[in-house]
Amino acid sequence: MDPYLVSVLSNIGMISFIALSAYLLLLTGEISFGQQAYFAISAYGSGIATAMWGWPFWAGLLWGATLAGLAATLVAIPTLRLRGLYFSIATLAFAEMVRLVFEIFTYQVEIDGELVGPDGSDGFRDIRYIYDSNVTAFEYMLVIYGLLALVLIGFFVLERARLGSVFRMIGEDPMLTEMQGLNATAYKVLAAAMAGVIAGIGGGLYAHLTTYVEPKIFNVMLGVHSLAYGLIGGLGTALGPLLGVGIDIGFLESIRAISGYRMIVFGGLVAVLLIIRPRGILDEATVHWLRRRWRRWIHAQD
Amino acid sequence: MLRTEALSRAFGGLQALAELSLEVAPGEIFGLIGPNGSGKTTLFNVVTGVYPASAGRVWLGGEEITNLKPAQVIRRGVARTFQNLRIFQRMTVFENVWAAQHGLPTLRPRELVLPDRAAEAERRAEVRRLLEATGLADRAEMLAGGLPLPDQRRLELARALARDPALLLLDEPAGGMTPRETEAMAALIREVAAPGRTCMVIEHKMDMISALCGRLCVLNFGRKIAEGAPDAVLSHPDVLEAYLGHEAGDA
Amino acid sequence: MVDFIQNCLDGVMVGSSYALLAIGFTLIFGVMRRLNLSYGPSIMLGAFVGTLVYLEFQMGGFAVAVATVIGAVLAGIYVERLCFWAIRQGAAVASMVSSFAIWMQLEEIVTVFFPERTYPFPPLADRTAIEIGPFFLKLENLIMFACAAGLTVLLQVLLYRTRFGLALRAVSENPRAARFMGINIGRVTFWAFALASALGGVAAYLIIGTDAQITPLFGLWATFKGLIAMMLGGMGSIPGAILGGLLLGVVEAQSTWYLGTEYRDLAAYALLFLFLVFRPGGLMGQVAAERERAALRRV
Repeated sequence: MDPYLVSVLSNIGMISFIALSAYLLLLTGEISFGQQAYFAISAYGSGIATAMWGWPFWAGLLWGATLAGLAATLVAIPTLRLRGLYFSIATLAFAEMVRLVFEIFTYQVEIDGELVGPDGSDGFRDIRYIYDSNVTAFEYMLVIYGLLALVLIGFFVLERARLGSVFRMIGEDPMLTEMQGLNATAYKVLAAAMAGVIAGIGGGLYAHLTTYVEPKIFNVMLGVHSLAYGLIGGLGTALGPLLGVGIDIGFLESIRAISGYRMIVFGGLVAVLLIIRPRGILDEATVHWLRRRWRRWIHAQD
Repeated sequence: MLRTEALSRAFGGLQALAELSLEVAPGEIFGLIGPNGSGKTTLFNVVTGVYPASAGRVWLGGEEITNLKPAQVIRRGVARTFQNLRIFQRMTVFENVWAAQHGLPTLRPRELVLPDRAAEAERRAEVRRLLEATGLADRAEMLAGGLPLPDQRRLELARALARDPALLLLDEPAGGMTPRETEAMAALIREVAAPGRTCMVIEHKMDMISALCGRLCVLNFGRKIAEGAPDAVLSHPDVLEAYLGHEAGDA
Repeated sequence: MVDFIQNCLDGVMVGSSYALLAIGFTLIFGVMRRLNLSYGPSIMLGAFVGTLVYLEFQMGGFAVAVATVIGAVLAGIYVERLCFWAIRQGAAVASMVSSFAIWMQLEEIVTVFFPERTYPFPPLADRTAIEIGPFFLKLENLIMFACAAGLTVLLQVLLYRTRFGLALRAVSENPRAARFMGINIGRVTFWAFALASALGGVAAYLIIGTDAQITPLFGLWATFKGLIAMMLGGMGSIPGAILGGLLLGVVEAQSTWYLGTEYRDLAAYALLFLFLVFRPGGLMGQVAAERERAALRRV
């Protein structure tokens, strides 16, 4: 496969994790500008585990995702009591704090005569596990998409289960959800923790693909983009955020004619789209309509 | 079943409920009437924990529930409907009723993700029975936001019943309905209350409420001005004075 | 102690520019209950119009200031029409994300026309320092502070002495009641946006003037400083925005001095986070919290 295509597809895959993470919180009606924080925590955490402690890749990834989930839970408990906008700003403040801490965070050890580890704003080099293990870029892309498929299956199970319905209920009307005997805040914390883990998987994958992470990648642009993907693609299904990522990175980046003006086109497109469809292309009503059509079609085949 | 003692709730300077003491007996259909803004819905809101009480206490079946969180009150066997119609508009009619089962105390947390096949099938059958009973079965797969108003009221009732509540609080269940629809709703409520379920009904439609309820309580400015059998209450001089003057505007 | 007071003075001077940005933010938020992330970028675009006037026509301070304000207002109106007016009231998230999309767009428009990293901007004043006992004040900072104070007074007069101010306060207090009173909410929102953008334009002129250079990153900087200052003060409150701006300036000055530059932004965000968790209403929170409760009652 063409190396450029592999790298674009790998990027789409990784960004999809953080987009799905923001999407999960959007389902519960919460707007997080800060999912990049968990992406960053896991990128550093898993990188430290494999490059400095000599852990195997999967253990490092698991460790990074766990750290991200824990951090997300700890942040969610005090902030999810806040309403709407206050929560959004709190996530933004936390994510910027995380980025700025990594700007000054230095923790290095000597391995084979070279210093390895995060070095403040110079970043964290030589997370070489994948290259040292002779995994090709194509194979690693398969790893990314394998994990993405697992997460998506998880989302589809969630959507069919009562838990997914609880999340959507909270997103529509928290008070009415409480009136069904459910503790809305507790479920929001659960959603935030799950979202943290999902962003964490993406972060760990990212660190090992690029072998180099620096704090400024995890700025608020990453967070707001991942939020926008769900809103562009649609909030009716987990395929929505993937569609959003595909439109931005896959489609617009590949049109060379607009390479210098990509953001002008993308920005305008999003703004117009949100006027016509405030809940994205695949919004709930569309997904509902498609499901009915699908079921009717299945019946017709029988 | 439900007992309040000197229950009060103030909003700033406005006394929405003033030292209200009530007792609703198990199995009765209890009516709550009064002019707009007399505190009827506020009573429902304080009982279900939406607003904390400023003073006074609430008991449910002998257990004190004053100032519990809404979810805690609901889990003790209370369900309610809303005057201004609150439904999950982006979900189907079926899902709205199904959603009311998520918080049932009999549903184990694991079942939120991995349901037991048999139990889940039984619960889904129960949802269908409720939709059947409320006449919504043929609209089960519609998005609830697209339902006409009387159907939305029936959906609220079906959703409340899905919790199989011991105490059912109905806030204007026939609001905005034609006389025929109102009659059907009254019949439905009677049916629902038949197995000994306690119901409290807020309603402006006097014919419906006096036919439906064994006892009535009249509120005015957050205070109880009369209580008893419909005929006696509705001819009470205080009620005539406080209520009838407003009725033309209210109905 | 001298250091501490000097830092406070510096902080208040810088903070007055944050306060100006926060007032613009809070005006828009107060009227719409929606967040305009594109506020910083739209005044940044205005400042680049000013730069254009400065570089192409060699015009001086006043003309540049006017051009900046006009550019900011036009960009602000563009944002208002596209992200707020066209999206229905209920979809606050859509508005916010849309304003972010327009942010990206404005930033790229500027970088297409101005590809260098920085461009010169007419300096506000020469770099003289004024000595008061053991303390120093920069002339440009003093000018900025004086302008900020003057604008705040003007704004108070506008809000409390004119019909437009009354309408604006009514909409921000209770939009539904305001509509029943016959106030055209769309028009009030439009003019509030224009007013906020004009204020932002002046703020941009003053702030960029003290640096004597401009970069496209100014948009992001202005949005964040304004947002933090507004949140610290309490959303929707103008006195809160001023206090929040000054507090932010002082905290930044102190943390730079005692901890180092790399801790300056960290301290600001940590303060914001703590405020949100423990006092979400901000410094002037009582008023805002009371309004929130009133909104809850209408549920």
